[in-house]
Order: sequence, then structure tokens, then C-alpha cells
Amino acid sequence: MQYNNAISRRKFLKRSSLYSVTTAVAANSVGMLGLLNASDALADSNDPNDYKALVFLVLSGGNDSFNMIVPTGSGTLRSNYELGRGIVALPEEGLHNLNLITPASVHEGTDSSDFAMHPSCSALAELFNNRDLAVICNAGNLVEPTSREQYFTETVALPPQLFSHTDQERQLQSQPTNPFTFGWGGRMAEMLSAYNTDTQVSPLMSLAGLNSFQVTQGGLINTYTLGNDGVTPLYSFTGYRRDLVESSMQSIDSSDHLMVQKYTDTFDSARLAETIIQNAFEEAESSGIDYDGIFSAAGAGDSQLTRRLKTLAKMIAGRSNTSNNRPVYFVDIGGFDNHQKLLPDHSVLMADLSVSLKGFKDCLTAQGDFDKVLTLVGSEFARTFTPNGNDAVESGTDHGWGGHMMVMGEMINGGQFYGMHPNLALDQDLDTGRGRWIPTTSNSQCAAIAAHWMGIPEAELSNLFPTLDNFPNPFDISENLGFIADAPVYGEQS
Amino acid sequence: MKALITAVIATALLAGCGGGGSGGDNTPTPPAAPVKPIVVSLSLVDAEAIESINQIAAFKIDRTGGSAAVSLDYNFIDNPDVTKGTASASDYQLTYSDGGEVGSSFELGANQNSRVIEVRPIDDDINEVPEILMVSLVDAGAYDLGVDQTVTLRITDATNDSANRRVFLGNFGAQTNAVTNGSGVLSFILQGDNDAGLLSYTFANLSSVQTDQHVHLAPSGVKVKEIESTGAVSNFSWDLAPGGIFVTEQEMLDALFDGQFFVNIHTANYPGGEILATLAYDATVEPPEQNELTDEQVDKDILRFLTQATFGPTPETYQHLRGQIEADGDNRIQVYSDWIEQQFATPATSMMSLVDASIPLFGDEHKPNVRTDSFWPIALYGQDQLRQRMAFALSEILVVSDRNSVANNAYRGLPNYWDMLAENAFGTYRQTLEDVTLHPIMGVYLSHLRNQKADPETGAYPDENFAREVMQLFTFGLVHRQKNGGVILGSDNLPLPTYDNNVIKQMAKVFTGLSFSQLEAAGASVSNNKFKRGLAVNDYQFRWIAPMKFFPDFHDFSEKTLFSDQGQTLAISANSSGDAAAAQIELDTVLDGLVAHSSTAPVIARKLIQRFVTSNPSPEYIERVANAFGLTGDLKSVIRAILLDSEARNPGVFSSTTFGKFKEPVVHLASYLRLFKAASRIPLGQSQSDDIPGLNYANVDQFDAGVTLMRTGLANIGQKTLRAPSVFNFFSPDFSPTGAIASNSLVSPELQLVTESQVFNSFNSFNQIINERFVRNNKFIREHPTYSAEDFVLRLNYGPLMAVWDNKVGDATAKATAMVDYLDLYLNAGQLAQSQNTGTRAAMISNLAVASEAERYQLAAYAVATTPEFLIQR
Repeated sequence: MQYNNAISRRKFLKRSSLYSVTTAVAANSVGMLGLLNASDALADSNDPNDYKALVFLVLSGGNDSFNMIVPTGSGTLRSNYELGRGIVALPEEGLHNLNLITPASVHEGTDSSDFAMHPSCSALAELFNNRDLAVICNAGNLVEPTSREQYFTETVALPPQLFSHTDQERQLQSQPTNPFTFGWGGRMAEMLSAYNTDTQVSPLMSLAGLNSFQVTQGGLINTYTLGNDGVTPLYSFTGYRRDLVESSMQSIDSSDHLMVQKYTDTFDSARLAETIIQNAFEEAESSGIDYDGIFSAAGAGDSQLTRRLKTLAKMIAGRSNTSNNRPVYFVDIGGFDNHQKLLPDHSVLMADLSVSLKGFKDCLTAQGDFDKVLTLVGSEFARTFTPNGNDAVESGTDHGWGGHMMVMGEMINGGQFYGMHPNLALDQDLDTGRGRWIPTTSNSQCAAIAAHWMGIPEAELSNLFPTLDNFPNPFDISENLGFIADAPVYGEQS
Repeated sequence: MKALITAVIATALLAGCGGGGSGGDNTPTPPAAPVKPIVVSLSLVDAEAIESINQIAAFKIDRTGGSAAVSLDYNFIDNPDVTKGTASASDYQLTYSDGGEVGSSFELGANQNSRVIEVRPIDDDINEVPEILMVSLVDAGAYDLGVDQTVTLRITDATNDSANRRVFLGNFGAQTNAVTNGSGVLSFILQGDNDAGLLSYTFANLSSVQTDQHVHLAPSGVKVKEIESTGAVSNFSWDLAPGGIFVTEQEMLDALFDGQFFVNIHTANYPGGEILATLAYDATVEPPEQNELTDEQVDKDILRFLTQATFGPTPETYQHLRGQIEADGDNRIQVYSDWIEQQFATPATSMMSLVDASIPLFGDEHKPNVRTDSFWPIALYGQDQLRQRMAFALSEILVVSDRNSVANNAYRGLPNYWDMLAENAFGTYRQTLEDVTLHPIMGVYLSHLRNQKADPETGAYPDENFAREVMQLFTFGLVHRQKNGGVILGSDNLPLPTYDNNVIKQMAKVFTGLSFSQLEAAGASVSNNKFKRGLAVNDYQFRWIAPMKFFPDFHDFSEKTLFSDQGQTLAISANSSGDAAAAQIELDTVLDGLVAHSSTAPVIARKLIQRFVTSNPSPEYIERVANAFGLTGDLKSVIRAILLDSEARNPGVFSSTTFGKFKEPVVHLASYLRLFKAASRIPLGQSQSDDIPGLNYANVDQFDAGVTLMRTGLANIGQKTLRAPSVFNFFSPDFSPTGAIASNSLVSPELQLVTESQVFNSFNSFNQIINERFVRNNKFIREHPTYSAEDFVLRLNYGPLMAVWDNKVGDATAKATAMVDYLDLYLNAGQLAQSQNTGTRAAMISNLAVASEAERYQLAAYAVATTPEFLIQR
């Protein structure tokens, strides 16, 4: 098993076949020839229709998702909501009603269809009501199914460092275990290497810098990071400058410092990908699709998230320039750690999220790609149900646990709530204190369904999510996680 | 060598001429005069006996009183440390220096008041650990024992000269049952006296991530030594202290020579070990030379030191230290130590004062711009270089960020926070943490400003934000740690957490009731008496530059059960009549406990080492710095320990592929601008010419000559001071990029910033600087009433580089070589010239030799900003 031999690595690079090498190596390291043979037989990188992309959008800082999805009406959920949230409760007036196809299950409560979205989320409500978006209720990092009694009697394995940003964010992007070895996006790309045959551009692209989600197990596929607006060219990189720098970079070998080697690898990766990605953008921009116009029409301005999703839509549109047919994208938006000023600050973030996702959806639809791109929206945790002050404008909420995820795409069975919504009763049922709800669905269960859609056979999912086997099969109807319409999975007997 | 149980050489021989002076002859003695008793004692003459060179140890018997011959009883005492060796009769011979072997007693002749006894080592072929010989006089009645009745001598096999070192080699291969391509090489170099040695090894191609590494005993596999780092090991000092089944060092040494020790590497796939290498003695291998540092090595060490301790070496700072070392007889560590002391005494430059002095020049310009730019004159020209490096390092641990809009708008408050860190740079971490806790900028950033006790009526709870991060990030971290940073496991074999959510809830109560102590009234600073005072930012910002105070009505005085350390839990009892002073006492108690917590010292020690010296300090290095940290965080001791540590000063790291760090972008850019003496045309002090007025800044004498006003704007280099994305700083101290760094279990925090897009952005930023476009492009600069836009531009001074070219005699290649070596020396501590890989150096020389004069210096400046070797420090 040849994982990280620096000498061979750099020599391979010089032959400019980084990712084809990766494929071969990853195939060995995966040790699942059955899967790969099946994939090899079916993957056809020349078939433009055999393309699926996953976009993982992380709301960084801990989204207060119980003010994103809000109970309405006259039932217990609404009264529990008003009681628990106190001054940070959103009044029903101004919320955007959701038309659930089937009522949402409520944990230790009565099924309910009375929900609405945050006042700033009219576009998201529209997507939901058009069945392009679905909500997965009260998901979170879990090692195994956990009850309140088990939590307080410490008779259950808990995710390490609950309520800590960095740990919970890493676990959302990998597994709730230590030590960290790979992100599920990175590992998934390795397992799907047969679909990602480009030798110059990584199938792992980030619009939010380096992250845990895209860390591979083998370490040979590296995340390519795009700027908010795509690729910035190198200025004045000609003549002696170019000759000097390129000669220098090419001279680096295994005798050099490991950090020098890593820097050089990143430069090489940037250079290899530069032209191809620029071509992809040019193709997108010459397609006649008015990206700026579509995002503007959705109400989006110039926020970082808008720019990132616009760049991503173009990257997907210009995909014929690469032969990666199962790319895995990472995007984030920060600012959700609203310990103060929850109501005003969260409102701004909700508006940004709503219009940016709407613009993204509309671009994908214009490109004819909305059925090929699954967008998963999550956060490291939700926030305490109870506020941390008495002032409706100034107060905020603290770090919580279970919260709502969202999924978007044409393959989604949209307009529905999956999993189970908490009954929002404090000091009982799912509450570990201040309305830090014990999740009723594991993040890994949700991610497994997305990974399965990307092409990972059911039998292989526990290689990607080692704690998955602690939970009921996410595909069982009892788990209420059927948010993706049935799709055939290559290489799997059905 | 002798058995553990020593037979006492009993001497029952009582000489006929016993004490008391009753002589055996018939001479009558005067009855009146009392006889002075005989008092005997032992003293060391030379404590060291060495077999290989027949160096003889010696001790001396002295007596006072009496003049008759006397026999002295003696015995040998075992080494009180049972793990260490005790010499036996086969190891030495005792002889009198005036001739004759020593028998079962020491003989002093008549009128002989002292006698020297030599310990002659017997040169055998047995490998022995250093053994001691403790000789003690025994009271036999005929004499009294003086105060000094025991001497301790030491017998060793050989000196610790380089030539006496012995080499053990090993090759890593698969451990039984492991299927792996893992391989590697190992050496252990045993010092001449067999007391300790240096273990080094590298390996690669593991099948999975490394989890552990140890020295074991074959064939049983018993562990004899924990190696607490992971990844390759270089010159790991192993003292052969007994481990596993062994109780003495001699047993360890015997096992070593018998080839019973092996090092193995444990991995996720093979928890019991994937590869192993046996330490086998190889008498044919020449031990490596160990020389005193050459002049060239000293030069490079000076530049490494300045790279670590300042915002970049310059010819002036180098010359200063070089001159001191020559004057002080080559004791470079003493010279560095003196320089550090001088830095301690150098007063802090003030960012807030510089902002205050600059702002009036720029009318209605967004004032935070002026604040942002004010970092550069301080970093590039401030004389308090070490203090400012420490302030920067602390700002990356005790993080606030101008991404918080209130903090950003508080263009006096934020530099006041920086100044507070600089003032505390050589104080205690304890005081720093208090000033941080009470600073309103931190208050607004982590939201404990105006945080109040729980309100049962509304169901509101105290804000937990600061309470969490003060533990997780500012002090002891998430899990209990040993002094060397190693994680402590709990009874469930998992890392032992330092706190749970209950502790956070309790801690949140400590930080309630804090709000502004001052506010502005008609331009004056007056006392604030309203807890819920607004977050207004005005021209004075008195509320943002005075420490917060307690408003007792809003402080939670209930009982608090807080974090635990070494079995002790910090608890604060309820206080029904608490006032502001009581709340402050409570805060003091909690801050004392946070800083004195046994995990805080190693956590902060590691973070600080990473900022100055290396991303991957050894556990021993962390422990030494943690010891300097102590219970209050003595930052003077800490920075001394960091910079003067043998690991930081080891010239051998030049060839290491792992030691050191990727330079932080801010420090990288600063060192570049410092060497090129980057400057605008506007003096910070008095005007230097008729047509460009100076700022006449009052504190200009705290800066080096040539300091100017800088209005640079933001360079897109991936890092800006006081602008981290979150309280988790620009990068994680544990960030490990995929590939060889991760698989060697190493970290490289700064590489978290190095992405494809960032590499291109950084290239372009340096292009912009070289093109003389490092200046804010706004109307306040372009249309300034006093200065032209060109006056503001930051320019690199190529004069010294031109001088190197012009003064070098020879052809263009010779001149280019001289220029490259100059840049390599100052920006890179000469790593390029010393590297086995000549590629970058050759590429620089060949291109610079042919570039036109117009392009030459810009090309050089571009190359040192972008080529890989210039981006790391070792």
C-alpha cells in the first residue's frame, strides 16, 4: 500500500498524472475491488449525462435552526416554542408558511403540519412549497442512539467535546469519533475514483479554504480551493520570473522540508488546474446564461455566499472541461455563532442563505443541472432553545446540539419534513438543559443517503461512516429519511 | 560492576594504640594536659576515573589531633539510587599515592596528617554504566569522625568524546503478521560513558495512520520506553532509565548490547505494531563528528535567532549580535540572553498612540483604515521587536478580530487591546488573561460585556461564550495534559476531558455583571454607572479603552462548582451580600485557577513555541517551556526558554525535513519589507526635506531611523493582524495537511492558509508591492491636501542589493551568486546555500545573471517572495 511516498509522489507529479495515479492507488487502498470493478464497468467518463455532484454547504458557528423552521398554529409545539424561546421567539406574523405534503413526526408528540420559515426566508419557503427542498429534523452528531436518561446517567457513548465549535464542525464533516482520519467527502471521492478520471483537476473543490470534510484517507487527492469568484490568474508571471519560479518548484524533491514539498504541491495543483478551470468558466459565461441577472432576480446582492454559489454554478456548467463526474464541493458561510443580537444578526444571515440558494437553484435549472446536483445544508449544532439575556435585540443563544438540515435538488422528495421534530418541551424528553436537544437522527445517517445517491453501495456505507452501523438502517422506512427519490445505484444488486 | 547487595568490608581490627593517647610505651605522660582527640575526615581530590584513558580518581584522608600511627576503618556504600551503578572490587584498585596498595583499613603513619588514595580504574571489556564508589570512614573508637566522612567517586568506561560514541543501527521492517510496505532506518548513538544516547529514525509507507511508537524488549515485547511524539525522531535523548522488567541502568545497557531492544511503530491498522527495527551494535560504524560551531554556523544561528525573535533579520541587527559574540568569547547563548534582556527593558511602542497621531491627517476617511495600516511601521521599524512579536503571538491565542463590526469601528479600542498585549508581553500570563477578560473589546467579541445573571422570570441564562473559550482556547484546553503536552487518559482509556457542559454553565456565572467602567461626556472620560450602556463608538472611545468593571446587581453570586485539576475542584461559595470587590475577588480566584491548572502550562507553551520556533516541538521542549511558565505564566522565563532551548538553537536542524515551521504570511511579508527597508516618503518624525513635511510624531525615537508613515491598505497574503476569521485564529495549532506531513503525524498550522487560490493571491500581492502599488487607493490618499499619492507609496530600497552586485568582482554569474547569497543569508538564514538541493539557488543565479539591470532587482525581490525554500524557517 503506497500512501505517501514523497519521492514517488513528486516524480509522478512531474509526469503530470497526479489523479490517474490517485485512481490506481486509491483502488488498492480501498480494498473493495468488487465495488470498483462494478464501477469501472459502468462509469463512462465520456457520457455527459452520467454526472452527479454533491454540494455540502455548512452554516458555520452553529445555526439557530429552531428560528429557521418555526412552529405555528395553536398546538403544543407553538406554545412550547413561545415558552422556551421567550424574548427570541419569532411572532407568527411575517413567517412564511410551509405546505407540508405529509405531517411531520413529532418526538413524543402529535404529528403536525403547522410550520413556517423565518421571515427572511421567503425564497426558501417557495423552494420548499415547490418540492425542491426538504427539511431533516433534529439531526446532529451522535455515536449511537441516545436517550435523555442515558445522557444523564452517562451510559451512552457521546460525541467527543459536545458543544465545542471546532470539534462538532469536524465531526459533522467526518465522524463523531477520535482520532480524525478522513472527511466523508474526501473518502467518498476516493471510493468513487473510477468516476473521477481527470489527471489535472481534483474532484474535491472547496470555496471555503481547506476543511475536514474533503480530507482523504490516502492523502493523494488534495482539495482544490477556488477563490470566491473563481480563479485569479497570476499577474506578470512571464519571462525570467516564470522560468525562475518554475525551475525552483520543479527542483523540489524528497530531500526538501516536508512543508516546502507541500507548498510546491499546492502551487503545482494551482498551475495544472488554472487553464482548465478558466476554460470551464469561459464556457459557462458564453453559454448565454445570465448568472448575475439570475442571482439579482432572486434578490441576491454581492455577499460572499452569493459569489461562491455563483462560481460553483459556473464550475458545474463548464464541467465538460474535466472528466470528473462525481465532484464533491464544499462551501461555507460564517457568522452563525449568535451569542448576541440573535434576532437582528440571524435575520441577515437567513436572508443571505435564502436568496443565495434560490439564485443557485435558478442557475442550475437554467443549465439543466438541477437534477444532477444535490445540495446538503448543515451546521455543527443548533443553539440553546432558551436565550442568554433579557433584551430582545441584544440577547443571543448559546451552543446547542440537534438541529435541522436541509436538502435541495430535483432528486429530492421535497416539501416534506424527515426524521422527527422535537416536541420542544424543556427539561424532559430530549432536553439536556436549556433546550440543547438530543438529536433523533444522526448526521451520518443523512450523509449516508447522500453518499448512496452519489454511487456508494449500501453495503459500503459503513466504510465511509464507521458509526453508521450503530443506528437502524437509514433506508428503513421507520427512519423516515426517504428524502431522495429511488435511484438505481451502480454495481448493486437490487 | 557489583551486585546490588554490597558486603561491608568489616574491619574489626582495633589497633593496639587505641585512642585516648594511652601510648603503648612506658614514657610517662603529663597528666594535666588533656589529649586532643584524633579527628579524621575524607575529601575529594579528583572525582572521575575513566577506564579507557586510565584517568585516575583520588581522595584524601586528613586528620587533626594526635601524631601516632593510626588505622582507620572504612566501608563502601551502595549507590542510594538503586537504578544506578555501584562499583565493585573488580572495577578499580585502591593505592596510596605515596606507594602501596590499600588494605582493609586506611593507614596513617606517625606524624602523617594526610594521605592521598588513588582509585585506579581497571580497564576491562565489559560495557558498564557509570558507577559510583562511595567510601566512608567508620568510627572504630580510636578516633572521631570529622564532618566530611564520605567521598563519592565515579568510574566510567570512557569519556563523552565524539570518538568514544558507539553506534547501533536498525532497519524497519514488517512486524509479525503485519502486511505492510513500511520501511525505515534507525540509529542510536550511545555516548562514551554509556549513560545516555541519541535515538534517530525515519520511516515511511505505513499502511495507515501512526498511533504510537515505543521501545520494546524482545522477545517478550514488554515496553521499556514511551516515545511521546509520533513521526520521525531526530536526536531524541534517551537516558536508558530502567523500564519494563528492568530495575537498573546496567540491565538496560546489557540488553542494549545484547540486541534485545527494538523500536516499533503502532498504526491504526496494527495497534500492536506495524513495523519494527532492532537496535544492533555495529562496531564498524564511525560515530559522527561533534564539533564546536564554526563561524559560519554561528552566523547562521544568529540569523535563525533573529528570524525567530524579531520581524526579520537585517544587516544591522546581525552585525550587532555578531560583534557581541566576538567580544564575549563566542558564547552566543549568553549574547542572545543579554539581547533578550535588553528587549525586556525596551519600552513598548504604542499602536493607539500612532493611530491617534495619524488620524488627523486624513479627514473623513474611514478611521479603521488608519488603524489597520498602523501595524506596519511598528513591525518594520519598532525597536521593541521581541515585545511586538510576543504581542502578535498572544493576539493569536487571545484572539479578537475586526471582523466583529463593533471591534472594527472602535479604532482606538482595538489598538488599545494590542497595546495591552504588548505591555503584558514580558509580564505574566495570569495578568494578561485578566486584562484580556476585562478589556471591552474582548467583552464585545466574546459577548460577556453586559452579560447578566440568570433571570428565572424570562428564562434567560448567562451567556456561555467567554466561559467556554477561556477554558478551551485561552488556558488548559479540552483534555488534561501532562507537563510535556501528552494527553492524559481517563479510566475509560479515552482522553480525560477538562470540563463538561455543567462546568461551562457554572463558569458563565463568573463572567456576569461586567460592563463599561467609563464613557465619554463632552470629550472627557467619566465614570459609567449604567450596566446596559450602549456600544457607541465615538471620537474618544473612552468606554473602549478602560477595563470593564463589575456591576454587582447583575453578577451571579450563587455557589459555583468549576473545573478540576489533579483531584481538586475549584468551588466558589455563595455570597449573599456581594459587592463589586467581591465579584473581582471571585474573578481573581478563577483566573488564578485557570492559569495554574496543570494543563495550561503545556498548552500555552506549545502554542507559543509554534509561533516562534517550530510547529512540532518535542515533548521535552514543551516540558522545559512549561516549567518556565510555572503557576502564573512568567512570560519572561517562557520566551527565554523558547528561544534559548537547545532544540531551538540546534544547528543540526539545517538538514531536517520536519523541524521548523512554514512562515506566517504577516511575518514573512514583514521580514521582506524590513530587509528591503520599505518606506513611503513621509517621515514619521521630522521632515527630511523642504517639500515633504514629517508627521512629527512625538514617540518617533522608539523606532529605528527611516521610519515613515505607511498607508498600505491590505495585502492579500492570507493573514492580517487582528483579523482572524474567528476566535479559533487563522489556523489551528493541530492542522495537519494531507500527505507526508499528516502521515508522519506532524502538524503545520500555517499551511492551513496555503491553498491554490491563496498561493496565486500571494504571488500577485508581492507583484503589486514590487510594482510600487502597496498603497491605499482611495480619494483621501489620491487627493490629499499635503501629500501627493506618490508620497504614500511604499517602495523597496534596492540600494544594498545593488551594492552587493556592484562590489562583487567577477562576471555576471559571480555577481548574481553574491546577491543570491546575500538574500539567502538574511531572509533564509543561509538555508539555500546549505541545502543538498541546489535547484532554486541555481535557478536564481542563472536568471539573475542574464536579467537586464532594470529587471534584476525586481526579479530578485519576486524570487525570494515566491520560491519554496524562502517560505519556511528551520
